[in-house]
Amino acid sequence: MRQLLTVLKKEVLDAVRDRRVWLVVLVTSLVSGPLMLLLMSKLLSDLKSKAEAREVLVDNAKAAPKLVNFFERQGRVVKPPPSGVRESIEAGRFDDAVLTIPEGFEDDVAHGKLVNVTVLHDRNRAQSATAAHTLERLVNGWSQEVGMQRLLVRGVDPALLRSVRTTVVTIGASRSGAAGVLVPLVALISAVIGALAIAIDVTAGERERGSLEPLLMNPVSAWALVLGKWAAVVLASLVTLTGTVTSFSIAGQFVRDATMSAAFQFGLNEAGYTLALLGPFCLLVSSILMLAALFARGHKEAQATTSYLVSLVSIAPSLSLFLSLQDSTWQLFVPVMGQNMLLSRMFRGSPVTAVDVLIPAAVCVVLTSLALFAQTRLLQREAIVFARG
Amino acid sequence: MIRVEGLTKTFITGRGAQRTVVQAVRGVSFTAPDGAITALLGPNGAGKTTTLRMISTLVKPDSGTAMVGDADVVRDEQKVRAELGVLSDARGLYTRLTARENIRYYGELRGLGGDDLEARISSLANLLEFEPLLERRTEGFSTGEKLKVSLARALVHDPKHVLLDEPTNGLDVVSARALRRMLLKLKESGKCLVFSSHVMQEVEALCERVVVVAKGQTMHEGTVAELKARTGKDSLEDAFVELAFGQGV
Repeated sequence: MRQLLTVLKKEVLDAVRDRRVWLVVLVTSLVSGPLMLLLMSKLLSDLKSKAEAREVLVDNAKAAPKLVNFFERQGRVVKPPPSGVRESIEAGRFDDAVLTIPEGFEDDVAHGKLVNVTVLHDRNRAQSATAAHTLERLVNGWSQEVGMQRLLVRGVDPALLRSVRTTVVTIGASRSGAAGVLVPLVALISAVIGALAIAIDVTAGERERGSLEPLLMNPVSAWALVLGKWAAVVLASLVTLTGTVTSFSIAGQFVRDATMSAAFQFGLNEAGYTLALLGPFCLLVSSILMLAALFARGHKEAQATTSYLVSLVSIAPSLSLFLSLQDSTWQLFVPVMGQNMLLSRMFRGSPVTAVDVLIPAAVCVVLTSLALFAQTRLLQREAIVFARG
Repeated sequence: MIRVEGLTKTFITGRGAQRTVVQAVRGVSFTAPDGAITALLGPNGAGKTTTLRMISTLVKPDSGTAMVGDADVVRDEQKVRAELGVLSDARGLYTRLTARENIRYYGELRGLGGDDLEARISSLANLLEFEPLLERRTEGFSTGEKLKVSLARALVHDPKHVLLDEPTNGLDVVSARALRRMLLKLKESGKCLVFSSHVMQEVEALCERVVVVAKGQTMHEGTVAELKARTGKDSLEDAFVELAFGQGV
C-alpha cells in the first residue's frame, strides 16, 4: 500500500509538471460547456429565426399572383431568389429554400389541372430543410384553399373530406433535443481525453525513456506499480470529467432563453448524476488506455493504438442514434453505450432505476480488473520490459 | 557474494516462419566475492547483459542458479531486488523531476523516507560529485550527469551487491575517471561489485577478478595475471582475444 502511494505521488507530480496534461484538462473542461452552449444556442436561434422569418424565396412569382397574394395574407414577404442557387447548394452555402413556379401556373390551376411546383433546398443543412418545410406547408395551405373553393362552388361541404382530426400531445419533449445527444458525448469523451496523456506516459513513456527496466528492479510488486499508475490516470480522468460537468452546469445557469433552457437543463442534480454514472467509466477507460499503451514502445506508437479506442468512444453514441436503437437492457452491458443511454434518458426526463446504474458500473469494475491483471502479467514479459522505442 | 552456476537462457522471437531461437546464454558460471570488483569481459552479444538481467531477476533463467548473498534469484525475487543495486543498460530518468526527486522515488519504493533519505541523497550527490545538479530537473542533463543520477538512484538503499552494465559507455574521460574512483570507494567499503565491460584498460585498472564470457559461455575465471599466464600473452587484450575468439584473430 505504501509503495502504491509512492507510485501514485510520483506519477501525479510528474503529470502536474507536464504542460500537455494541463492543457488538455483545462481546455476540455473550460471550453466544453460554453462551447456547447454556443453551438446549441446558435442552432436553436437560427432555427427559430428562420421559422419566424417573414421572407420566402419564390422564383417566377409573377406567374402566380394568387399564390403570392395567399402568401402575403399569411404575413409573408415574397422575394426573388439570389442568382446561382444550385451552385450555392452544391457548395453547402445555402441556408434557405426556393419555390419555383412554372410558366402558365395560374391558367393551369384555373382549368383544374394538377400543377407541379418545385421546392429546392439543401437537405444537409437544417435551416434549409426548415425553410423548405415552411414553403411546402404554405403551398399546401393554398392548394387546400383552392380545393375547398371548388367544392363549395359544386355545393359540397368541405368538412365531408375530413373524418378524423389528430391532436398531438407531447410529453417530456421539452427536455430532449440536442442536449440529450451532445452532452453525453462530450462528457464521455472528456473522461477519455483526460486520461489519455498520462495513460501513455506511465506505460509507453516509461518504455521509451528506458525507465521501466530500472523501475522493475525495485522490490515492488507488479500490482503496486500498476495500481499506483492507474490511480494517477483515474485521477486525471475524473478531474477532467468533473471540470467538464462543472462547466456544463455553470453554463446552464446563464441560459435565459426559454427554448434553450428547456433543451439544456443541467443543474447540480444532473451534474451529480453524470458524475456518478461516469465515475466507474473513468476507472475502465484509464485501465484500458494503459493496457493498450503498454504494448507500444513509445509515445507515437501509443497514440496510434489508443486512437482506435478514442474513436470507438466517440462513435458508439452516434451508432445508437443512427441505428435508432431503442433503450434496451443489453445496452447497459456494453460500455459507452450503457452510459450514453442512461445519460440520454436523464435529459429526456425518463426514469432511471438503481439497477440501471449498477449494471454498467459492475461491467466497468469487472473489465477494469481484467485490464489491470493483464498489465501485471505483461510487466513480467521480456518483450515488454526490454524492447524500447 | 554473488554465485552464478550454469546459467542458460534461450530467447524465442516471432512465430511460424519468422520464429528464431537465440541461445543468449549457454552456461555462465562465476563467483564474485565481497570487497572486490569482478569484471564480466566479453565481446558484443556474448551474453553479458542477459546474465546481469538474470541476476537482477528481470529474466528467468532456463536452467542453472544464481545466488545474491543467500537469496536465490528465482525463489527469493524480492529479497534479491532488495539486496541489489543495479545500473542497467537502460538508465532512463524522469525528465520532469529533479535529480533529487528521481533518487527519492526509488528510495521511497525501497521503504526509506524522511530525513535519513534526504541525507543519504545528499551524501551520494557529494560522493558522485553532482551536488550542484541535485535540485535541477533532469531534462537536458548530459550523458555523464544522467549516469551519475542513475547510479545514485541504484545505490540509494546502500546495497551490499552492485551490478553495473557497461557503466562507462558514452562517458567522457573526466566522467569515466570519476566513476572509477567511485567504484573503488565502493569496493573499499566491502561491497560486492560486478560490472560488464569490453574496455581492457578499465578492467585492468579496476578489477582483481576477470570472467571472460564469449558465445554465451564462461571461457575463463580468475585474476588478470592468471589470465595472462594461461594464454602466455603480455597484454590483457591479447589474452582476451585469444580466449574469446580463439587463435589467429
